[in-house]
Amino acid sequence: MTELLRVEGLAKHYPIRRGVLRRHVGDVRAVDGLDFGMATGETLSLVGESGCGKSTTGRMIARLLAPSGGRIVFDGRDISGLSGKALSPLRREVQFMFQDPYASLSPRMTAHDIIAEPLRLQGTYRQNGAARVTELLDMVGLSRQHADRYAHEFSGGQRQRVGLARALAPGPRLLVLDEPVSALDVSIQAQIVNQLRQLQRELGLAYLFISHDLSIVRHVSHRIAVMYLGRIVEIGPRARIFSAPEHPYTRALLSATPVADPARRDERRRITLQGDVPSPSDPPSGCRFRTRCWKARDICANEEPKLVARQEDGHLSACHFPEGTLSSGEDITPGPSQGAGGTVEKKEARAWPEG
Amino acid sequence: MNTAQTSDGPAPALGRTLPGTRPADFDDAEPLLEIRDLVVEFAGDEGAVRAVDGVAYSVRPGEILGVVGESGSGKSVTAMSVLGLIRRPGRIVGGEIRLRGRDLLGLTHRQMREIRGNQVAMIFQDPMTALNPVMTVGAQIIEALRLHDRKMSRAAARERAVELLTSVGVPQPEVRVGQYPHEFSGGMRQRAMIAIAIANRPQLLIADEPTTALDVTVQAQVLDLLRDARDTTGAATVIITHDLGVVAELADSVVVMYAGRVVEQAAVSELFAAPRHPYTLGLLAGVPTSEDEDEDDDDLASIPGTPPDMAHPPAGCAFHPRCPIARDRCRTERPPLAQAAPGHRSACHYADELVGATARDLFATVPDAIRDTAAPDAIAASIPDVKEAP
Amino acid sequence: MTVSTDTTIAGPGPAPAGGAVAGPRRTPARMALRRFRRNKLAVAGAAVLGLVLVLAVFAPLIARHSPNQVDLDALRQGPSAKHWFGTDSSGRDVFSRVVHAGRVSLLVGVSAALISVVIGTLLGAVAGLLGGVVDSAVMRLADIVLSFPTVIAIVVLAGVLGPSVTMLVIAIGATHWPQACRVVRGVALGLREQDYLHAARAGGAGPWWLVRKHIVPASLPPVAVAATLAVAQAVLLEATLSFLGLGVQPPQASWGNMLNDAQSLTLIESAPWMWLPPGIAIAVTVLSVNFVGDGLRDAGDPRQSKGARP
Repeated sequence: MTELLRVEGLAKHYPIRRGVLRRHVGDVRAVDGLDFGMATGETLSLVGESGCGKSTTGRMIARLLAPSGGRIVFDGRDISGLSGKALSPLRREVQFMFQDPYASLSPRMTAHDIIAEPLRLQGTYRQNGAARVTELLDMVGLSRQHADRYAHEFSGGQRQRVGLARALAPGPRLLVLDEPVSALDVSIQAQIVNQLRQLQRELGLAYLFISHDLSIVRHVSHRIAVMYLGRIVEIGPRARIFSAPEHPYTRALLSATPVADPARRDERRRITLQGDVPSPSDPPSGCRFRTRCWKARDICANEEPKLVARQEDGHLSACHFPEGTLSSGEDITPGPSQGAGGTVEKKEARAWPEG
Repeated sequence: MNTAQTSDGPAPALGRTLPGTRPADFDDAEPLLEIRDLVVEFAGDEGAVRAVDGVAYSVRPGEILGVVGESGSGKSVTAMSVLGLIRRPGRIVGGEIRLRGRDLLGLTHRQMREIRGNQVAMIFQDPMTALNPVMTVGAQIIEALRLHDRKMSRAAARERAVELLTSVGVPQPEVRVGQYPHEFSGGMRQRAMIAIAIANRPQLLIADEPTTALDVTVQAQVLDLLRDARDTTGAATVIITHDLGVVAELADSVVVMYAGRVVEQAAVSELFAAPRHPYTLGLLAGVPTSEDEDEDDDDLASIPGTPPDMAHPPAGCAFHPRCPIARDRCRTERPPLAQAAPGHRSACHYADELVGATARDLFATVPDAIRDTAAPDAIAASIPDVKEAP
Repeated sequence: MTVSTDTTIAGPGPAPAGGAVAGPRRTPARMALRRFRRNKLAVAGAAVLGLVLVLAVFAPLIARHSPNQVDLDALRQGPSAKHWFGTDSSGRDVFSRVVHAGRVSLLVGVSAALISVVIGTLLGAVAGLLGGVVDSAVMRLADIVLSFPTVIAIVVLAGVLGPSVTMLVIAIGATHWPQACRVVRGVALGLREQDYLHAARAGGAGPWWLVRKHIVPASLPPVAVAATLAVAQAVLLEATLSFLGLGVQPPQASWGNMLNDAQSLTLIESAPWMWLPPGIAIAVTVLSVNFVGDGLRDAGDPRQSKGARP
């Protein structure tokens, strides 16, 4: 597999201005220094809670937002500094699919016009545009009769299919999927997920799959990056992330995800994190997760852990006290001794075992 | 944040499981809430739309009932009917809603108001719209308390408000009590909502998608809290959700709704282990589980088509256009909710055939013909949601 | 994180898969027409306005007399079979003058409104889409224009350029664009962060494409409302200015200068046929235009559509 995308030190800071003079008093660090790469045809999922910067990252890679720092290298070319017309070759290669099936389609356009818009923008519509639109409708599981319909005549799942066809129209190699199924009914989610997987097999697309739903992520990803407060805290192959997570936050996320199996309710041990994510305008010093971490000690407040590989190449985590590999039945609950570090009184939150 | 908490005690100050509230004991208890044959219609230009069509379920004290369904299944409308919150153009056309044997549908608005906030409390999906933005959280809890008990003094109510905030795990309750909802995070707001809901120790707690707007780590906190609230108050709890994971985590028994009707009803373990309605099977199959890991190259089994347009529901069984085992009988005859196993009811003519069936087999074999008629055929203009790609 | 759920108390979730009824397709235009037709006053207004338009356009065919033909044998005569609305002080046929004056009034009204709406739409779209300095500059300019006393501005302009129909159209157009501008800016601000605009940007759309393909089409319903109001204002303004002698110049007839001709106290008492017809024409036209504007407002507002959802 060849590297399609490389991101280095990617950041998005929004200045906070106060007072009459609009003095610059700080930054909201929505995304604060990301490094990762993506191969052709792979699915990398970005997971994390709201406000962790996963959506902002996706929008920067599709260049819907200009990065305020770092580099985005697509297919060997730095695209982070480009703007306006210089971006149009990239527009063909990287496309974006939105979460909200209602806001993402113009209510005044037919499906045909929506899908044809990127072709018209590229000037390729005149050659064989109508045939291409029909082909795209077919690719996403819609039929020719759907072409003349307006957005309000479609169900939520069908709208997402139209949005997908629009994203495929320019013939991209990378699709940024921003929570593509989370607004859909459960029975429709599976249809769309299957459609996405089928397209990936047929077209060799790479997906940057942004989601908060770990059960879907587990199903679609090759690799997973876990984000917390604008940083990647752990990244690695799917199987490693789910079976041998190293970062405490990853473990907490995994254990908090409800499992559709009541029989395992009582055997499962849950790590329930206390409190909420701190504000990205004033992230904690050192490790950003330390305020909610049951393992935090002095070093966590003083020194920011680096994202490093420990046991296996391609599995990196940023923690001073990473978890070891565990077999599936083992207790993943933090013991009281681990929580009794020197900073426990100062900690704003703690976790406790939950049966 | 959480400085008020001691470092050695598990946080929510609510107690652990009370004896006598486990699912096994429910069968003996009298139902607290009993809904029978509820029919709710909404008037529209093209005639009345039946959003709820003969729904029946009951909850016993201390039981957590999960009501699962997709948009338009009528799960929320049913709950709104219990609270007497159906407004024009909606109308309750028939049926009974009994709380401790008393029929709520015969009550006046005033009597209904008494019941809301006393015997019955509600937790909404979006606490930001359910809380008053210009009143402090404390004032809202105090209001709820004093509406219930007019003799309660202001000071006593305030003290109780702090106590309630502590019990739902809001850190620094003495400070938080004087703050406005916008000063709370999403998870904290939902906690405050729960504090208001349990303020008067209601007998019935209805939570409508209480965690849908929350992140998973916060969702886990709120689910714990709801369980603790049930354990301490012994209230019957109805959780309305689209998330089978939430049901599996929290509920004792489950009602599955589709197109305004109950299609399956069972204890939670029974429903997940041996579902007896094709729709439930399909829903379960659509959720990837941890066991799938080795089979990750398989597609998810998915229910074809879309939920029906309630203005033009299909004849017979409402699920038949999407059902892999549908036959002629299903197109004409509506299946009643009948016993499929002890304590397990299903509204499927062929529930017996589903014993031991897996959704993967069931929905993988859906012939193209069925997929192509997936959308309700009553709608002339409709086109199926799914077309098999060549 | 939003998941669509049926928490609405008002109705059971949105109809999936084109909850359309069998029958005509529900295109946005058809649904708008349906909402328009529900407003009875608007339909009546449109009918009356249509009649006024027909009279104006076919004036030479309808009026049996030339509007400027002087009949010295019939000065200030009351209505008769020969002169339906009587004659004026110069012996001209009032009916024929009212009908011909309608052409001028509507021409001024419609072209002035068109100019103001085009200017306003473009400025508003650009201001809303680009924001920042451009937005501030356009909106301050709009504030300045709005704070100008229009009539006085036109009086000055008429003094400089000399009164004429062209001057009227330009002057009214140049002073009435801020209304449309504000409306379109609001629409553009609302659309700016919509996902489907982002999608167009991801496809390579620049600002001009977004304005043409998305913002202007989305603005049309509210702009149509603003335009009808502008027509009504322009018709009134034309009448006012012509009445003051600053607009349409005699002998060409306009509703305003016909009123001017009949302004002496004796004529008001003794010859009501000279001022009633142009007065009623102004009132009826402006009222119908306003009714049509209300109807367009309903048509552009999907919330009005009671039957759109079950």
